[in-house]
Amino acid sequence: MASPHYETGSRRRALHHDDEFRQFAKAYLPTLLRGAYLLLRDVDLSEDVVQATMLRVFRNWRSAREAPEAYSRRALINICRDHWRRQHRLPPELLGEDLDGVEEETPAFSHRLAEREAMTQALDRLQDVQREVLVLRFYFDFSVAQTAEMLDLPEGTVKSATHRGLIELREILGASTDESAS
Amino acid sequence: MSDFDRLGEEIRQQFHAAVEDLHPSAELIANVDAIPSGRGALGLFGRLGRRPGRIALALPVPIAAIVAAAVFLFGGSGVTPVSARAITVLPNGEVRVQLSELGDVNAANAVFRRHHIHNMVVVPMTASCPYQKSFTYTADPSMNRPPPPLVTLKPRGLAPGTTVVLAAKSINWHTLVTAFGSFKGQLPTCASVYGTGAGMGNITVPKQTGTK
Repeated sequence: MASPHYETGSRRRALHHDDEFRQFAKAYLPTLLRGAYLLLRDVDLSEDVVQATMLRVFRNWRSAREAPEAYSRRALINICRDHWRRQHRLPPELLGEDLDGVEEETPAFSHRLAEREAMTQALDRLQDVQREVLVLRFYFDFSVAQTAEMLDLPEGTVKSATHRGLIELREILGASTDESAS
Repeated sequence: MSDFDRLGEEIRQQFHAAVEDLHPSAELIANVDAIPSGRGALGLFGRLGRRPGRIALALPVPIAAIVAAAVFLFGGSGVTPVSARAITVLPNGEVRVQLSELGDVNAANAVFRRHHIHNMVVVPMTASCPYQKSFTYTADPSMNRPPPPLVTLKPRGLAPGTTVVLAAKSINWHTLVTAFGSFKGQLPTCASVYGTGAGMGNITVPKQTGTK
């Protein structure tokens, strides 16, 4: 009779883990999506990446559940990096080719959308490393050491990218604000 | 607090303000909620399949006619009904094929013929098929970057007498193998699963029996 007891307990634990995961996912999904958007500047792509992140988190829930937010942030960054690596391998003539008349970017009618669009365009103008470092440092709140580890960069590079990126971003955002005001 | 720290804080606030109105779609929420029940991967493909405008994977295919192609054929030997939205012919002559909606190789080719598309063919990918070097192979871990089941073809851009042959197989639930080729004259009737190409080195292809 030991076996059924074990199975029941195992099933109960599995159900408990499922509920834990769902609770975490429900609470943390918006944060992950927003961070992904800042990194990728594409809502659909961000949703794809976030879903893949959650799949990875769930598959490793036993270890992830100790610190699911940190685990999922790292998973998200790794998946984004996989995406960037794959994108760099693509032939340039196939990159960025839009299909006519499909999924046009939502026009920035509201202030919020305009604000997001301004930030998207500003981030677009930064170097890749600056953008990644800034989002990791100032959206996901990673330390210099954690950012360096995650991006596989020396800490000095992270510091200099942070410095230059912040100054450039301020200049770009300031310029766009001035343009819209005038 | 130094000027630099203040600037960092300012940017932090602007980051949060810029994205605070961004919320997960109902579809994303539902798919993530379904992950523990084992339907997450399917949900992922399902969601992507409904977004025909997205190019989730652009492949290094030496065929100018294919803007971006990724094929995902579901297994099964039975003939699956072909969805009406599987093939879309645009006014500019461009053809979009959502192969996930076709579900079956024979049914897919029947739809092409019905739409008078004679320069595109889908063939099964099988282990028994001999390897042909004319195919370009790629394997993609669709877990991280799932390709949409979308093929965009510009039939007018193909040289006369040229036919694009596509094959794909989901090797396991997170790896998609695709084969593309441009052929003149006799066309292959199948594609081997044992090709070489980008991403193929890291996958283990299981033994296949019969044809799909």
